[in-house]
Amino acid sequence: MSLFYFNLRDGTDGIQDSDGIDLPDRDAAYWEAEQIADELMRNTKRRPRHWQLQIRDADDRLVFEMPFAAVDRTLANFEPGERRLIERHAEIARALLETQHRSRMLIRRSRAIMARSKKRPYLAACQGVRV
Amino acid sequence: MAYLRSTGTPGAGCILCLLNGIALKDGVVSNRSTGDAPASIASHFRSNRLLAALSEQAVKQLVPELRQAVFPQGTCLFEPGDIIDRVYFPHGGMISLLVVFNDGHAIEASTIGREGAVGFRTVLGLRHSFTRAVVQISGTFSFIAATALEKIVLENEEFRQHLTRYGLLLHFEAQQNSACNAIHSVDQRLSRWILQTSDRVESDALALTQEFLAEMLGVRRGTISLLAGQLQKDGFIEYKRGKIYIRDREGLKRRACECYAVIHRLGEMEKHLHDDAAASGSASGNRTA
Repeated sequence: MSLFYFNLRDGTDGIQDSDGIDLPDRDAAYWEAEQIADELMRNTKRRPRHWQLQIRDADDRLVFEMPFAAVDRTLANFEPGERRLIERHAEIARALLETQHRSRMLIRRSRAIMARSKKRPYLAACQGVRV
Repeated sequence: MAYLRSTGTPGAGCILCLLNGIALKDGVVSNRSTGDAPASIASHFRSNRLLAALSEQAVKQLVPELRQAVFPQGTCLFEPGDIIDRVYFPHGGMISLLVVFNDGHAIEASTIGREGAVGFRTVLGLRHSFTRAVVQISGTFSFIAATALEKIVLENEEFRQHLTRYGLLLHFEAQQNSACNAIHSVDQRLSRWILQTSDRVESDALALTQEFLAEMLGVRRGTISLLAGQLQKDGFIEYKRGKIYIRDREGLKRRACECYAVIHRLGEMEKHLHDDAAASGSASGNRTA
């Protein structure tokens, strides 16, 4: 048995799995990830196809990535070509959102530094994340 | 949890159930075996709303038959197919009724706290259980042999009616629960579940592991871990040492599906049902102070 961490990348900071799950091998981790992605998408109005699970081992090494679009059952009827296109789009959408989020955080941080230098009040944290 | 894993074959009794069977026979606080126990039962008695609503006559008959014990989390009270031989009244904590599938998977159908009782349908004629009853949040519970309760219920028409009405409310609750499980997202259900459990135990701090939560909602622990992480990030809850603390109830309500409002209303109706019964009992003067 070894410990696998299932971290979520959702286009913002994502969510880190703090506990991890003990599983026999990589295949079991793959199956687990598929189930988690499926459950997170189940009955949601806007299917978060651009999300991705990043599976890491106990030494924080990347084991594999699982894009939600790749396991989205509502896409089962699409041609393989179309499906690849949707998956590709989802990847790009996430990358874009992540960049946007990072830039936004960077702007906030710069503003905070400027304000501090002028001894003015500034935004110290946003959504629980320290600026 | 060991008790869920151990039921891979249908009909197999869970380990905790067997252990518990021994524990109940040997180590339980009984008001007969220990001389000072009746006082303890009396002091706890009214913290269960259903018991608090009883007439004086029913109380007199019930108290000598009641036993009391503290059940730890995970204690299994009965399995699907079991003949229910005991009826349980929580004074705190919470019991979950789970629907168990052949492959060992289980999902929660109802929860019962100190507003109600578990297994009482046996005295209304339904002897066999269709669900597994598990102590989900540890607490003190009174219990009584089903045969003894049946006798008391037969002699107290009001009590029987009261139980029937309460059973109907529970039925509506289970109805809402099953619809919710089928239609709503895990995210919404998790929020609803935290709120609903907090109502049941009347506390903002819930001693629940993610493993337990996952089993109640019928999803994988990894899913709960990520969704609870999101709720924590949004500042709605805090997860510390296996305990959930509600930090923003309104935020959780917005995240939960509409089922929370319905289940909350049913919970209030249960309370009113008991309060009305208690009031009518005291008005006619046949109830202890």
